[in-house]
Amino acid sequence: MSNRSKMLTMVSVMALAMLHSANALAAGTAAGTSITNTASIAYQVGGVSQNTVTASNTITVDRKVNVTIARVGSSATSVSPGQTSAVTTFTVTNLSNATLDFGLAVAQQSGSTGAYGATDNFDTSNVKIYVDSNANGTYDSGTDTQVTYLDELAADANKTVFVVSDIPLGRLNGDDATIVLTSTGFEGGGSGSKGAALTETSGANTSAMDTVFADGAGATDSARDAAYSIKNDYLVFTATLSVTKISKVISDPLNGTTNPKAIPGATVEYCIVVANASGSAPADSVDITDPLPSQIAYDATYGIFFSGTYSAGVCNSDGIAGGSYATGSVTVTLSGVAANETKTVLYRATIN
Amino acid sequence: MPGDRLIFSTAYHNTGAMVVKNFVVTNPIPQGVTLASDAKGTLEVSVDDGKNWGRLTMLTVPDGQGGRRPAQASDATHVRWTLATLAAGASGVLTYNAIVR
Repeated sequence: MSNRSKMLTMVSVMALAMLHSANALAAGTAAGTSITNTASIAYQVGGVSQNTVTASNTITVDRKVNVTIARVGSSATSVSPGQTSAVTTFTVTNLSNATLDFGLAVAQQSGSTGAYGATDNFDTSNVKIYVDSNANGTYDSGTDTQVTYLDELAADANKTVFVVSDIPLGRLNGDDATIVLTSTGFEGGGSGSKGAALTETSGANTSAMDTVFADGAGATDSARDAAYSIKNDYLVFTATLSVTKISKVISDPLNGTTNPKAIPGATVEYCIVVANASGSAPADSVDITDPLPSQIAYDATYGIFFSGTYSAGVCNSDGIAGGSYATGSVTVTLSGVAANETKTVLYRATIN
Repeated sequence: MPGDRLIFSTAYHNTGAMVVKNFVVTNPIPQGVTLASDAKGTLEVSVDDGKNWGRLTMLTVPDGQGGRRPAQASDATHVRWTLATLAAGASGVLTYNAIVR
């Protein structure tokens, strides 16, 4: 032992200050990293430089568990009633300073406001979670992998996650289904299996790697629970069709066309009015079938006119000749009825 | 944990009977931490691995575009304290504040 080390003693210590910096570090230094602080001292005694004395101390960086999810897109997923495999998209990001597994779960919200202001009023079915295996940001059926957790997500890494579900038939325009995706951190463990649940270190800082939960509060989870949740919505966009049937007597055998009455032998014009409400989706193909009652006979001479116009409560005498009459029913297919559009079907019959 | 503030302290004690002169404590800032931006302005630091020393406000670093910009706390690589004389039996503590990267 040299006398110089007798003359000078050095102790290096580190204290964890009881306040957090506002630095916007994401993952930061990896958990488990040793930080060694070494001070070296040069000095003179009696005008002679002495050997250098050093002192060092090591701390272990603790594990900060933080996860967040973001919705991809800025509006609800527009769906049709009966649509299968409707996709909502999320990005799950590991803000921890360690590689972790992240469990994924979807809940159906019951009522209350969704992600974009609409009120939830139905649930989707057949809900599945997929990870974007080919990282193209788009759900590819058969390519992307169905998962229940994200395996070994590195610090600061993120994955695109798709929630895919079916929309029930019979839902109306503007109906909303809100789902909540929750991602919960688990131990990384190993590749191919979900690790154990994370436990926060209680009590004082230890010299080993401690675990601290640092996540924020999501839609349905609390702050510092190693989980984050966020809403996303399916919004039904469909046609809102209404059908009205109008009849008027055109002529009768006694009065002709002057104030005709609905007596046997009179000709009656039927008008079927199909309207699609404004703000609705266009109806692509509208099939109309009208079985005639036995008391009237179809007027084949007049025929059938479709896609006519309707104004001020009256069916105009226009439209395109077409449609068919068979086995007692008038059948017409309208190629499409746009939002805020009205189309008519006209045909005539004689009272038996 | 990243973002945590640390106080690094070095305690010294002259246990000899002689006066110590030109007592210089050099402390490289460890990987994984950065000098806190609110560290004392009088602290003598280096931003080039100990080649040049001075107060942080007096130092510059390359700006990556051929010029130089004023050094920031995160640029510091070393801290240093110099005590001209240290009497026999004298002791004290030298500290600096850092943040885990």
